[in-house]
Parts: sequence; structure tokens; C-alpha cells
Amino acid sequence: MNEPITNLWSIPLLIVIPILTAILVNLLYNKANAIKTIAISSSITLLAIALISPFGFQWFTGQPGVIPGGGYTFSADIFAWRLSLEYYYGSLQQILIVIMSLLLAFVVFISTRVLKKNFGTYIGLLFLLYTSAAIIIMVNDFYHLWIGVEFGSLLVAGVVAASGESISQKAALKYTFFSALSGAGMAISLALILGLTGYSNISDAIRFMSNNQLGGMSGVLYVAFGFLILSWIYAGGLAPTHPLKSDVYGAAYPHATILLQTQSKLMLVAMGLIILRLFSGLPFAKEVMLAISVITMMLGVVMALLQTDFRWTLAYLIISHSGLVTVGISLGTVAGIIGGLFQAVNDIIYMSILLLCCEAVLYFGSGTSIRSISGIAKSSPWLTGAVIVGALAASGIPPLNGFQSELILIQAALGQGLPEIAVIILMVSVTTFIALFKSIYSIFLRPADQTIIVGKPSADATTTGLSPVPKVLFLALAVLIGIAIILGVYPNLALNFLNETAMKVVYVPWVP
Amino acid sequence: MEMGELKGARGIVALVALVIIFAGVLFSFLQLNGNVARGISPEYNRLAYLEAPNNLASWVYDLRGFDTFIETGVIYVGAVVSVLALGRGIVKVKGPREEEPVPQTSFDFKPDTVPIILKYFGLPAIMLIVSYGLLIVTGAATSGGGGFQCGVIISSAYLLGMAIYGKSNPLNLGKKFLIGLGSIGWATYGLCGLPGYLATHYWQYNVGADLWSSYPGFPGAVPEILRTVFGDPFRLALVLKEGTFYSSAGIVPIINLGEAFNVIGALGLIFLVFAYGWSDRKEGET
Amino acid sequence: MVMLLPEMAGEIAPIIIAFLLGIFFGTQLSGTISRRTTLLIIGLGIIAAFLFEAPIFTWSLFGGYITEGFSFAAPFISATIGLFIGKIIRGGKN
Repeated sequence: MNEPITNLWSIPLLIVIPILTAILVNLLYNKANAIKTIAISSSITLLAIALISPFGFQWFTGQPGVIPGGGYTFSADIFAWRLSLEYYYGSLQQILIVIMSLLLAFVVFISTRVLKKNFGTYIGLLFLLYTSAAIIIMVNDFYHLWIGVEFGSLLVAGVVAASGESISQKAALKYTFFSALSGAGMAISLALILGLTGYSNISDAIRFMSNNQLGGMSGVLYVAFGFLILSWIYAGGLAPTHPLKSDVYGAAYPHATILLQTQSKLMLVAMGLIILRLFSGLPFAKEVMLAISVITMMLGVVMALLQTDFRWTLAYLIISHSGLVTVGISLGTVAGIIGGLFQAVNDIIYMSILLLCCEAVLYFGSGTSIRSISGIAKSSPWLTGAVIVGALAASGIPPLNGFQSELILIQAALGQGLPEIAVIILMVSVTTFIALFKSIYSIFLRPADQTIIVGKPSADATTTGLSPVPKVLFLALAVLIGIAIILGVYPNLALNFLNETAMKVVYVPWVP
Repeated sequence: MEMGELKGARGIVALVALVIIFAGVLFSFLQLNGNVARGISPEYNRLAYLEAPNNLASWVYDLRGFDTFIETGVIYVGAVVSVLALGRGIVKVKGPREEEPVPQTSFDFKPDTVPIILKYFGLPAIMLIVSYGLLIVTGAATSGGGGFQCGVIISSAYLLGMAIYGKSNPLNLGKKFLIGLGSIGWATYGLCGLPGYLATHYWQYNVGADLWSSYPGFPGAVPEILRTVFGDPFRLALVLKEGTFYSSAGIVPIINLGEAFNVIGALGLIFLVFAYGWSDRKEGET
Repeated sequence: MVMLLPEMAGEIAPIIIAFLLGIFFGTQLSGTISRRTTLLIIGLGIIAAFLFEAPIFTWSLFGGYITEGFSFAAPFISATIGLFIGKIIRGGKN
């Protein structure tokens, strides 16, 4: 259960170190070597902190909790209304932040290798993206959650716009415009809940609602629920706003998309759990969430089938698999939530494998469309192996990690008496396989066409004008494939981290 | 999005959605009218005056100080992203494909047409506005204003200079200066949390005001030296019939300075870049 | 409670901070300022300093010690003077 510590040392560092790093690298702007050193050492520090940190709370600014009978306390064990902003670092937070830190380290390493000058700002934005996701997954306060969502959506736009092509500028502008709705929806929801309960701390608000009959005010709760769902949809890119998010995924560089999709999944998980904790008592709440998730899953995978560019196939598949994550959470049972959370972990990993392969294809210099490039298998067999493993994991084929979480999800759906959902999950994984292998066959396996110029990336970038595939990319692929196989064989390694969270959400929703 | 897209079925859907949203919000606010739960807010009122004579300063920069830190970040990121959209920090993968970013045309001020009287009073007005901004930020703990307001006031002085004098703005804040100011501002705000963190492991614990370290059950202790360094310079005395009461806003005034720098940097940069565009060349070169 | 600084430090510190910040921003000012303009600015500054400060309820140099109910925004004047000094130190001519 919870540790009573309210001054856990690691939480502020996980937020402040990336912020200071971002400020510093933005200031350095074009001093490549300094940026490289600072960014890489900072991302490795974050990984180390996330790994060794114990669990507990952080009450920022050290204001105490107010004991209802009078007096103040600094222990989380005693029932008290929180005066401070509260963050919680528990097992769910640990596994997600560790994975995100690992990905951040790889992405930073790769981008400092392959980008031309002036990448200080870009690296800074990547670090801030990490911060926003860390805030959203750790925070236990509505007001701060809102700030985190605003901060996060602005950063998504920044990271996408940084790739400088007209398509990405357009996607960024569109996303900024509409994501303002996400923030606004959340602000209204926050205002209503604050009006109803008077507490911006989520645990306190839930406690207040369960202790006090809201009576005739429950209509307000429905409106708050509606706005929070709206915000959830926009923030996570669920249907019907999926084109906005898929544009973002497709228009950013694939290495940046790794962090973008991680952030988006963390938002979905964090906000989804908060919605469940607050509103699971409302009739239809879970059904609404489930309907949105199922539509997202199906729309995403159908759109993915229609794409002819590997980048865009992946963009739509990420959307579709976000639906898989939220299906589990929407089921609202312990098994469903465990499945959803595990799916989020696995999804982040296998999508990162596929995106890294897509990034490598980009370095061959002929784009990522299935019409413009082919025959990579001959010049780069290792890459081909990696992309096939990634595709198998995404399609839920044993012994890889995707299989385990989809199995749990299907069992959870059947356990709830919803065989339709189970069938749709199966269908999505089969269609994922088809969509991916269309691209993989054309780009990697099909023999090189004479009319298509296939560049072989070489170490000597100046003569060919092509960027070599950096070795660290292969290292990243190896590590991620290793994790995918380990989680596929021993799913309990991850499930041990997720069980407790799921139990708490269902049985003691006021405990973060 | 163009207005033409809103004709037909789409427009009807948008209209219906808007009506539903408005009805929902209106209904909720009517329901809440007079029934708002006060929750934790009386407790904030009870504690706020112990730090700063101005309750607002205590709430915004201490009780909920970390919220404000991330909000400051929203402003900083807003500036960085706006400037990025105009060219600063766009990245390219090393490779053969080259698509030059679209050249930015700068908005053309015509300062020659400004009446002579404006030119004569421009500089005094700018200097007085800057002084006013500095007054606001130094009174942050006691008056209603603070870092945000100071930043907005000083950047409006900058905008005034730009509008009257064009490129020969007397308040001559350059690109590098503004970026540096914004970064230093946010970093200062962040680092204000460090003394409290080192002493008590609570980030941004107000070591100058130090309300809680003598309370039973408080983990950690605040050394005398920190209390002196951060508390004494801002100590105020409240003289009443009942006696003289001392309070110190502690780190709140310093946080406000950081906040002000951040806002000046961010807004100034947005004004500068939207008026003249961005180029990686040094200032003065063409 | 040990107090190294006098108890009115909270009144003095803003004046000093405003002065230093005035010098800082003064270094970024350019353009020529004639003697008449200087006098104009200082004159307006003194008027403004009377207008901008409300009589405050804490112990203060002017509001509590010299004359009750009398208020004067000393940081405003010190910031204005700081701006001039900063401009003399490093301000460019334009």
C-alpha cells in the first residue's frame, strides 16, 4: 500500500531536471557538443532516478494536510484535506516513467547524431514533452492536471512544427487550434467539480463526494463528466478527433513520434483512471468510454489499411492501439484495467520498435512510401528482422508482449459478458498484421526495382549525401526487442507493477 | 479552417453541439448558484496572511506555487513555439533532401508617419512605464500585482517603442537578450525551490517565511542561515494595538522577479519576431 | 529570533531591488535624452510616485513613521534614477 512519506525526494527531480535541461539546451542553441553532453547525461540521470526511487508522495511547498477535527499533519496515513499540490509516485508511475526515460535517452541520443545544426530548441522541447507526461501521470490534483494538459498539447505542436516541412507546420497549427478545446473542456469540468466539492485534490474530491449526498446537484456531475470526456478525447486523439493526432504522428520525425505517442498514451491512462475513479458510479459512464474506445480502434485500423506510406500506416495504427488501451480501462474491472495498463506498456514498446525502423528507412533517402523505396532487406537484414519482430508483437503473436496484454483484454471482455468486444479486439490485431505487412513487404522484402533508386546508407555521408544509420539506433532496437520478448515470456514482471493500481482504482478510488 | 466548411451538414452538427454545450454549462452554473462548496478555501485564507500581507501573493506563489511554476512554463513554451514556427530551431535530418523554410516577410512599420509629438514623448513614456513595471514587481508581496503584471507592463513599453520608433526602438532589447532573459527567469523560479528542497525535501518550501518547521511531525529542519538569507531582507512589521507582528514573504519576491523576467522575455520575443521575422544571422547584418 | 538586518528591511529591499533592476534595463536604453527631458521624466516620476502607492497598513518609512496616511512609491523613483544611471553606464546612442 501507500508509503506515508510526503516529501519523497525523487518526484521534484523528475520534473525539474528536464525543465532545467530544456532551458539550458535552448539557450545553447547551436553548440552541438555541449548540447549532446548535457542532454544525454541528463536523460541517463532521469532513468537512474526513476529506477531507484522508492514510492511515496510529494507535497509541493511543504504545506500540511488539514485534519478535519482540527490540527495539521505531514503524514499521508492520517485522513486530512490536502493544502499542497500532491504528486504520487507508485508502481504504475514507476514502470511508465522508467520506460519513458529509456525512450527519451535513446531519442535524444539518436537526434543529436542525425540532425543538422541548431537542434538545441528541439532537444529542449523533447525534454519538456517528457516533463509534461511525467506531470500528468504523477499528479493527484485537478488544477495541476489541467495545466499539465495545456502544457503538453502546446509541446506536441512545438515538436511537430520543428520538423519544418509545410505539412508538419499545418498539422501543428491545426492541433494547437483544436487542443485548445481540450484545455477548455477540462477547465470547465474542473470548475464544476470545484464548485461541487471545494477540493482540487482528486482524492479529497472523491472522498467528499462519497461522504456527502450531492442530491439535486448530480446533474452538474454529468456535465463535468461530459467535459472531462471531451478533454480526454482531444488529449489522447480518440475518435472522432483522430485525424488531428494522426496528422501529428505522421508529420513529426519518427524518432519524435516515439515520445509523442508515449506522452499521448500516458495522458490516456492517467486521465482515464481519473475519470474512472471519479465517475465510475455514474450510470452509462463506462459505456460511453467503451463506445469511444471501440470506434477509435476500428476507425484507426481501417485508415491504416488505406495508407501507402509507412509513416502514415504507423500513425493510424498508434491511434487504433490507443483504443485498445482505453477499452481495457473502460471495462472498469480489475482485469480490464490491468489489461489496459499492460497494453499501454506494450504498445509504447512495440510502436517504438516500428517507429525506429521507420526512422532508419528515412535515412535511405527515398522517403517511406511503398512506391518510392524497396529492397531494403538485402542491404540491411538486421533492420528487416527488427521490423518483422515489431510487427509480430503489434499483431499480438506469441511469444511477444502484445500477445499477453491482448489475451488479458479478451479475457476481461469475456468476463464482463461482452464477447463482441473480444471479437473486435481479435479483428483489430489481425488487421494490424495485414496493414503492417503491406508496408513491410513493399519496403523491405520486395526485390529492388530498377526504376527505383535505392540508396545504401554508408558511413561516408559526405560523398553519398545520405545519413548513415547510427549504431545507437540498432542498440535501441536490440534493447526494445529484448524487453518485448522478456515481457512476452514473463508478463508478471510488468503485471506486478500494475495489479495494485487496478485494485486501488476499483476498490478504494480515493487512494491515488 | 475556412468559413465555407461550416455550410451544410457540418455546420448543423457544429451548431447542435454548441447549443448542447451552452445548455449544459448554463444549467450547471444555475445549479451551482448559491450552492458552491467552500471546501479547502477557508483554510487557505486562514494561513495566507502569515507570509505576505497580500493573500493573493501567498496563494499564487506559495500555497500553489508549483502550479504557477508550470504555468510560467506554458508562457515560456508558448514563446519558444511561436518563434519556432517562424524559423528559430527548425531541424533537418542530415541528408540529400533540402526544403528551405518559407522566407518570412517582416511586417513593415512606417515610423515616419508618426506625429512629432509622439516621438518627443515616446522615450519619457517608455522610461516611466518601465519604472512602473519595476515598482509593481518589487511590491509583489504587499500589493495586488506581481511578476506577470510587471512582465506585461514592461513588454508593453517595448511594444510602444516599436510602434513609435520602428527598428530604432530606444528600449533596444535584442533577440539574444530576450531569449536569455526568458530562460533566466524560468530557471530562477525553478531554482527558488532548491533551498527548501535541500533542507526539508519539500520542493519550494518557503524557507524565508518558514511557517511549519517548528510544527510537530514536520520532517527535516530549516537551518538558521537559510531563514536569515531568504527571510530577513523581506521582513515587514505590522503595528497594531495588540502589538507588533512580524512576517516575511521569504522566497515569494524572488520568485516574482523570475516570473517577471520570464514574461518580459517571452512576450518581447513574440513581439519582436512577429514584427521582423526570424533569421539566424546576427543582429545588424542583412 | 535573531535579526541581522533592521526590522524595516522589507521596506528598504524593494527600493534597492528596483534601483538595481533600473540600472539593468537602463543599459538596454538607447537614444539621446536632453536635460529638459530628464527633468520632465523625474518631475513626472515624482508625481506618479504619489499616485501609485496606496497608504499601506504595514509599518513603513513614510506611511507609519514620518507621517501617518502619507504614501510615496519610493521604488518608482529609485527605478527611474536607476534607468538613467544604467543608460549613462552602457546605453547606446542612436
